[in-house]
Amino acid sequence: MNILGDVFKELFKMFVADLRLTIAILAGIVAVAVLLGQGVVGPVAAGLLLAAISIAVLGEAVLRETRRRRNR
Amino acid sequence: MPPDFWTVLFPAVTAAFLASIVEVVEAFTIVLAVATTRGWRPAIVGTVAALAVLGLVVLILGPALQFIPIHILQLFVGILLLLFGMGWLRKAVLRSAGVLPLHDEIEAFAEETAELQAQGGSPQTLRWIAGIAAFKAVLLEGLEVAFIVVAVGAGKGLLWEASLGALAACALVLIVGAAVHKPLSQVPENTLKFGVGVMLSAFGVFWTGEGMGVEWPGADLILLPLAAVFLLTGIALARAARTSFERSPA
Repeated sequence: MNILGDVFKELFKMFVADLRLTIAILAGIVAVAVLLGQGVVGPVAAGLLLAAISIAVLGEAVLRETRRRRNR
Repeated sequence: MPPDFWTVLFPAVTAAFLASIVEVVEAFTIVLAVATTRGWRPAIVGTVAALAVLGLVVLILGPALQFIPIHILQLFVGILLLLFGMGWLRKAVLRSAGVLPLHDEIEAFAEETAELQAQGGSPQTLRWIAGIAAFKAVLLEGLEVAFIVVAVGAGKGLLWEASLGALAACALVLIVGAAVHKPLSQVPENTLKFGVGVMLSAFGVFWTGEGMGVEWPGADLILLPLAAVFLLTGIALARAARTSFERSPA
């Protein structure tokens, strides 16, 4: 039994349960940070945008997985 | 009562407590399988050793994070909490919709028992294997609890409070488990996972924003509407996913 290998695998799975969800969230955070840094959105709107992106990414991930399993 | 009791302290400790219930119930199933197959000694030794490792991780990592500047720490912890919370929420929604099967403790117990019984070797070797199985189960399930405790603790300096929440959950599961002496299959694991996913996602968005320099209307109070939005979205998504899943493919 490779316990250390299993520990790293578990740690990876904790944050990358769905690779596309993880990438989309990280991309959303970078996008909001850039928009905030360049003054395109204000500090209040940036927070609301971040929340909206997170909700949208969650919805896409759930419905994508549902479609994938339904069509199997 | 601290001014941020309802917005920060209570949700943080509750998240640590509920997440621990979910994980400890899963670990307890394996430990019980070890105990009923090979005796309580390897089960207890493996469990105590894993708890010691997890305790060490929390004790070292928690205070060490205090040396990182608060905005960087909040951004880092916020992103990790968001990814972790969204992962739990996604899975809980899919299970709630019937797209993914619910976690079955009875089945997990039967699988682990069969695996242990299939092992061969001297009694000492078998006890070693059983002890390592218990150690691994508690360590792997406990990693998520340790992360939540450290993350929640580091973001707002609530390491001890979050640890107490997690330890209370451990004690509760062990007391109930010792009393019923069978897998705790009646625990509404997915509902707990749903709730924790909602709370951690809200914390994640909040702290990621704080780390980026976002000004939240109402400061900490925004956590409540954020959690409400994630909860309502999760419920709506579960309904939509169930309807979509039950429709035959086009």
